[in-house]
Amino acid sequence: MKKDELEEKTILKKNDKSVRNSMIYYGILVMLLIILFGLNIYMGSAKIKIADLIDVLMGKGNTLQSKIVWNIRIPRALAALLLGGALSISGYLLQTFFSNPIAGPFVLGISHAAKLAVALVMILMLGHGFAIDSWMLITAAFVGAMVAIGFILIVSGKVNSMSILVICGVMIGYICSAITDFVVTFADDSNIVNLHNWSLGSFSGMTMDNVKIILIAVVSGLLVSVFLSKPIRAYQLGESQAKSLGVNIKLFRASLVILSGILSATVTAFAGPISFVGIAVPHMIRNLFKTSKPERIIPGCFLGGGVFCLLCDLIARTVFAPTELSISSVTSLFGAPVVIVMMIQRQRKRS
Amino acid sequence: MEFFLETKELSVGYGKKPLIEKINISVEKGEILTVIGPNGAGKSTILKSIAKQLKKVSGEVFVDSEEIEKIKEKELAKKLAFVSTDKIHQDMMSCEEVVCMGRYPHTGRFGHLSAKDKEKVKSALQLVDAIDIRYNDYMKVSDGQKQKVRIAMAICQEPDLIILDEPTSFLDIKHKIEVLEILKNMARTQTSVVMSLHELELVRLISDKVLCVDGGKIVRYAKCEEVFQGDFIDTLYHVKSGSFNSKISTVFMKKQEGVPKVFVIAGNGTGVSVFHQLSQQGIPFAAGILQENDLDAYFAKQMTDYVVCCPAFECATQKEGEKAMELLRQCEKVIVTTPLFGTTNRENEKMILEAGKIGLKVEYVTS
Repeated sequence: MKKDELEEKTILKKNDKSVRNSMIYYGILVMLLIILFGLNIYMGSAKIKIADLIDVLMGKGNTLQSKIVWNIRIPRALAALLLGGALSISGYLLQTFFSNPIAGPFVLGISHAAKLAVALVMILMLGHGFAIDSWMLITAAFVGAMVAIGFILIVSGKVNSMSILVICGVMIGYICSAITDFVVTFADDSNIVNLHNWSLGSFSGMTMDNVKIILIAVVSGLLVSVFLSKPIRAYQLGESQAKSLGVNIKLFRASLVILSGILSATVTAFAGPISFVGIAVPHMIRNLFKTSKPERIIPGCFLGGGVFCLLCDLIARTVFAPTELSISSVTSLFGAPVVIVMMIQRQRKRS
Repeated sequence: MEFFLETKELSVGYGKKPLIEKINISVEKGEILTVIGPNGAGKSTILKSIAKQLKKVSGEVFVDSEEIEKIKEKELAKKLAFVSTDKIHQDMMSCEEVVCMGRYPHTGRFGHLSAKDKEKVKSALQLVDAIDIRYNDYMKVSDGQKQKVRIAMAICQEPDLIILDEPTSFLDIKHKIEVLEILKNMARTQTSVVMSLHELELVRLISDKVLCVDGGKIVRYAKCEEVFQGDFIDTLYHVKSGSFNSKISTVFMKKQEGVPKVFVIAGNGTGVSVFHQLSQQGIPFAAGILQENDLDAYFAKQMTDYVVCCPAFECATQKEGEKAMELLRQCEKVIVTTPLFGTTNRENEKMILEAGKIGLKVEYVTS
């Protein structure tokens, strides 16, 4: 009896410890998020003193600085935070779907297909003198993303190999990028100057109105993902096991695909294709939290993605200021090595 | 009779093409049904179809008197648990966490475990004797432990029917026995068990009924012991070289060919070990004089054509003695495995003396 009680206590301790660790990591991530957010609105090609920045944030200060901070830097930082979070959740959902940590919206060509769809819609609409609203862009990106996922699903039904799937994804990406380049090059319209920057991936030019829409899309995506954590957990044990536990597999798989499609479409509609965040961040979060529990990993991915993109955008804007790097150059630089290390580790574990 | 699982004219297969047709089985609560048959006969296909993992081609499956198609996923998960051969690849998950997933159909939206759920997890872990490894990483425990953990997960679903696809394959003998013990205990508490097994000697230890599948049809569906009669098993599995002896549940390889070189004087089961050694070394041997009901006789007859037997419970006659001597003279060596000589094996004792007279080497291998 006594031994039993003792055992119970150790279980509780162990559980408590794991929960406490997760809480500490959340705390660290939130702190990093706040610090990076601060740096993002403080640093930039226009120098603003800290005292002035505080004044601006309090609603005082001169109009020019106020405009720079409130209309340019804050929306941009908010967008980086939210879209970074969306990308890593989207990656996490795709990894769950394919039961493989190398899946992500970028490597599977989903981002590129979304980009192509957005470019086509923009050129068509602008060419005919129509105005474009953000929801329209998201819808276009979503349609593009779904077409790419549909194609990947057809391939995955025919071949049972993740490496072939990834190669197909990369090829889809190239094809979509090539077509986008054609379209952008030949679309002779002054309105499309920005399109080129966007098609390489960038958080620049965000407005508060954009941010509002991003907020709605991303937060609802985050919430639905958290609600899916129970079936995700079962699905991690394999499809047949999940079925045996009572998961409606068809419905579940459809929700995963649609949800990750919406999230990556939102990112692409506003910031273009951004590489490797979707693979690197979930991997780092899993290793940091030392658990596979989706209800802990999903919020972790959101925060981690935010931190990662804020950091990368800060580097993209400031290192060679006033020249700005494309965000994908920076995320690749940090993300790709993580992916390589991960693949080597996996291979080693298997053999 | 009220059956917990019943199939009516069930056809199973992949897509629309039936692989096995006309499956009519019924399992009561607490009954154990085992599916046997050669590799690729479609045992897994049948199990998957009954477990609603695979869409059936036609016919009906009733679980608890309800057609399986009409039962919602979550409700079905409370009645039926399926343990597949698919491996679980999930890092950073303890054995206990895997078992906890068995509570899935019973928990709320976020899968939070109540005190009662945790109690059930604990007792399932105790039932399969995996309480010591509960905090171990699932990926790092042995195959046998993994299988026990998976069965514990199925137990946590609190099903009335558990379906297992080759639950003992790739396990060592300790774990094979443990897994079967667990299933037998589940059956005792009114859980029905349906599974496929390859180890025939285990099949008859545990099954109430046996379903034999081969060549796209049900060859036989009967009580367990009815299947283990004569050479039915050899026929079912198309065994051409060697055999499965149903009397002693033992597998034999092809008999050694050639003229016997060693004569084994055995009896009372003492010869089995020497028979095995000689067969393994490829030395043709003869054995005698054995009573038909002696364990040595069962083994010797499967391993060599040169066995001299006398009827059960009888002494060897002179004629049998002469027949044995004839064989013995052709051999180079005599091995004696029995230390005991009584009324019924006097002839054997005589043979040892005869062997000495003609200058044959006589070796005693008694334990």
